[in-house]
Amino acid sequence: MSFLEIIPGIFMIGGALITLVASVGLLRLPDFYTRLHAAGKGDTLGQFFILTGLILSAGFSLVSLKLAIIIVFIMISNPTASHALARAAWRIGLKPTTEHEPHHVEQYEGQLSSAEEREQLMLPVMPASIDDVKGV
Amino acid sequence: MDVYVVTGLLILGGALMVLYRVIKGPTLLDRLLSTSMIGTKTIILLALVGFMYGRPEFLDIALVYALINFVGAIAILAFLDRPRDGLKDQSGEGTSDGGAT
Repeated sequence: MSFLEIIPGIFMIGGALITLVASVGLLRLPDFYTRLHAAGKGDTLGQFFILTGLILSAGFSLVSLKLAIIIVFIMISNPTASHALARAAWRIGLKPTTEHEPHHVEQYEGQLSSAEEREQLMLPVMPASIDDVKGV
Repeated sequence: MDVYVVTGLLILGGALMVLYRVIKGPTLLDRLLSTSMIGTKTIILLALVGFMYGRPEFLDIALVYALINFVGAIAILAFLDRPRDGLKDQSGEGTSDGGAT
């Protein structure tokens, strides 16, 4: 296992694990739009790493040039297809789910006695008016 | 165990997991997304098999399949999203310029 064999191996196994994580995300996420995030981003990145690993293990030849062309085409086409899917879903009328509501301040109304407790829970503090909003 | 074989098995496991979403996905778009994902995994598997057996011709097949996968997904979406007469755009937005023209 020389040094020249380990680096492509790391790229390829890493890319395979990223793709596996993207597949698990496709199974477990609750909504179409969230699954589109997992599939579009994770899969493209995993492909990039695996094909880069193959380029590194093939050296400088025609095979590497063909692999580089495949990588360029995948980097152009996968995000375009993901955008087209999201746009078609929106125009058909598919709405994202709102089952998992974020952490609202109103559930804690009247229970918190001090500013330290509020800070411990890390609840967002809403400004009272537009004048209270500090510049970023 | 060669590194190509291990990577190939991991990718194959990922493709079999996505098959569950092809069968179960509640909408058509879920199934389309999952099929496109199986297609991209096929591209990687073709390149890996080409490296395993020492045949660089498999890369041409992989490139052609990448094109076919992309064009197929866009074709189904163009059919879904085709302009229909008499039906309003259900998302609530009109034309993309807001009725200016």
